[in-house]
Amino acid sequence: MTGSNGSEGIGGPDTHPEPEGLPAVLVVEDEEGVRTTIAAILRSAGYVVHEAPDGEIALTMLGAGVSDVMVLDVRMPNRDGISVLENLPSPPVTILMSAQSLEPEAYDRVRQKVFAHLRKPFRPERLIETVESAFGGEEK
Amino acid sequence: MKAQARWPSWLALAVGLLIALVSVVGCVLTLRASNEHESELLKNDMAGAAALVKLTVDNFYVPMGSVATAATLAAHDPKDFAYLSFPVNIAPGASLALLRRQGDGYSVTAAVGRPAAFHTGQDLTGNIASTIGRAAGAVTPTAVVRTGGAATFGFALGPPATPPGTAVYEQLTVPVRFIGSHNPFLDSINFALYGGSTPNPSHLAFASTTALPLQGDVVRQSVGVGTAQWLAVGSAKGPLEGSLARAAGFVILVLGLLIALLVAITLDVVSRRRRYAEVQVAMRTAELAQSMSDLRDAQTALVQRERLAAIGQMASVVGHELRNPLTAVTNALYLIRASGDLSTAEAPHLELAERELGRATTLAQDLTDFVRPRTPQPEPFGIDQLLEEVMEAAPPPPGILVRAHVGRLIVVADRVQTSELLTNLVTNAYQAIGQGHVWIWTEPDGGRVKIAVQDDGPGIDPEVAAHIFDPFVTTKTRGTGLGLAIVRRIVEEHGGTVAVDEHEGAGARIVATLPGSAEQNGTAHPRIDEATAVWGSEPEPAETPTGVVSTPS
Repeated sequence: MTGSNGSEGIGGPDTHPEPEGLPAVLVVEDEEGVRTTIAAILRSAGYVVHEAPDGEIALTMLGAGVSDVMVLDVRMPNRDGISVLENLPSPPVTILMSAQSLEPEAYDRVRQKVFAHLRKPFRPERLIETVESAFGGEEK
Repeated sequence: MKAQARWPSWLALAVGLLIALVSVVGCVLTLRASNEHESELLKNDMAGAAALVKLTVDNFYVPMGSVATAATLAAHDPKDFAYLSFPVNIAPGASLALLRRQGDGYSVTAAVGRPAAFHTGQDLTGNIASTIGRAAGAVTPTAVVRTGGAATFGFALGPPATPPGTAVYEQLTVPVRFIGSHNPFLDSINFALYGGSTPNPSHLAFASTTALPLQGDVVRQSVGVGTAQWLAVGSAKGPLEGSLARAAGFVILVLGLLIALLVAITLDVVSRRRRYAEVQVAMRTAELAQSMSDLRDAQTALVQRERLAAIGQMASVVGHELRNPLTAVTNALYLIRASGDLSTAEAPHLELAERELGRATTLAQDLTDFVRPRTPQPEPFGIDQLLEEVMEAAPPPPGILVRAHVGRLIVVADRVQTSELLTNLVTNAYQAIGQGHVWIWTEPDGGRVKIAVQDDGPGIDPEVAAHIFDPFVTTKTRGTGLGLAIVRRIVEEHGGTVAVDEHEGAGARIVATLPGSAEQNGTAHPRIDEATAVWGSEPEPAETPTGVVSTPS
């Protein structure tokens, strides 16, 4: 694994604030296995990765610090992904992940805020490509 | 029912006819009885008339020398006789005097004959009592004598050579004629009495009418007069019975026929109603049976749907729940591979893990695809174009060659679901054959488009063929058994069909139909012998199965 300050295990606010300028990704996912492996993959690709286990904590973290890109799961306890986006007037570039099909009405409310949509399970390569594009600013 | 209405039931007809017959017989019998009654009435009247006449005749029947047996008409109402007229036979030279009792003697009321041995008013008391004799010969003047009042009549007959004043009495056959009697019998009948056994006009004793011989229905009766038998002949002037009695026969007939008709109609209506009711019952029973059958079918279908829904529900849930663990494992394997330092012992295990994970992922995908609830949102698109996309996403594994003979046909369906359908058909073929050839072709079919996928693999067992579209049925060592179930669900959502197609040669052929654009596709579609597109690679020669078909028939 990379030597950056990966926050292992259950996410909490990062105790070591990142140096400005390094690309940071926030992974919001309640399933530990999914979250930690995604974080590890993205770190191996050179990104700084923060982790949040639910939407509520994600909002707190986003309030406290800046992440440029967010990989956001939809189905989570406390606050789900749609709700997170609704409560972010200017969210980071968001890649939405989902295991289920999305309800059209719910999705329509936040559609403009979503950069890309990944359906689980996805190929890790695809994840890396999508995050790169997100940083590149291309609309997928 | 209309046709039946024209024909009364046989029972009603029979009963009606029976009653009609009975009434006819009754009418005939009544008429005959009436006629007999008439005859009897006539005979009674005749007997009455005859009796009355007989009474008179008897009283006029004078045995020789018996003035004492002269008619004693005083006992009878003289109004019964308007007048008497009788022809008598008187021998030439003889005379006839009609005597009238007067006290103990007789006086002559009328006298006929030449020379007149008697004269009116002559008192013959002494002479008549003492002399009795026979006269020979006869002459035939007619004496018309009017009588009236109480009288006793007798005859005195004087022979030609009898000295004047001598009375000789002859037994006379005296036809006596009544005319104008207001005897009640004679008001209603015409009556004639002949002094003999035949209606000889010269023997006419009396008649109540001058219209002789009597015509029409005539009754003859023998009447004893003294020791002789006379003949009475009578006919009714009009019906003797009352008009009601005469009509009785016809009343019976008419009533009987009416009753017959009424009964027949009633019976017919009743039986028809009964038949109608029976038909209704039969119909309702049949309807009920049909409803029961329909209900049973619906119930079976419902149970089937519920089961399928339950399976689908579970499949969906399981499929979804698997996604996160699959993601985690996929990611972890990636990280392991990315770490780089794998031993030669470890590498194959990693490969196996990745492969098997791929299968698990496919299964999870199938499970969720199976019951994806989206209603089709149809749009027109070219099937050839869609096939290209599908083949790009699901290319054939090495050793499988896919040939498409697909023209530019327009399908009107949900594009995503059709893509799923094609993908499943194609991957099903891949899994079935392992190595070999796959053909895909399309043709228009009225307002539909037929899509056929054929392979040259081992084919489908007829017993299995009925069930391969059911979920979780698979004869393959690989595969989820859901691919074709998904195909069927999509096809059914579009109102199309999918089935295993019988054909010559080896391999399996599955044909699905989807709605298409009839105007754009037309009905004539030339066979596309040249492949319009090809994917994959030829199988190794050693692997080519027998029975390769170059172009599907």
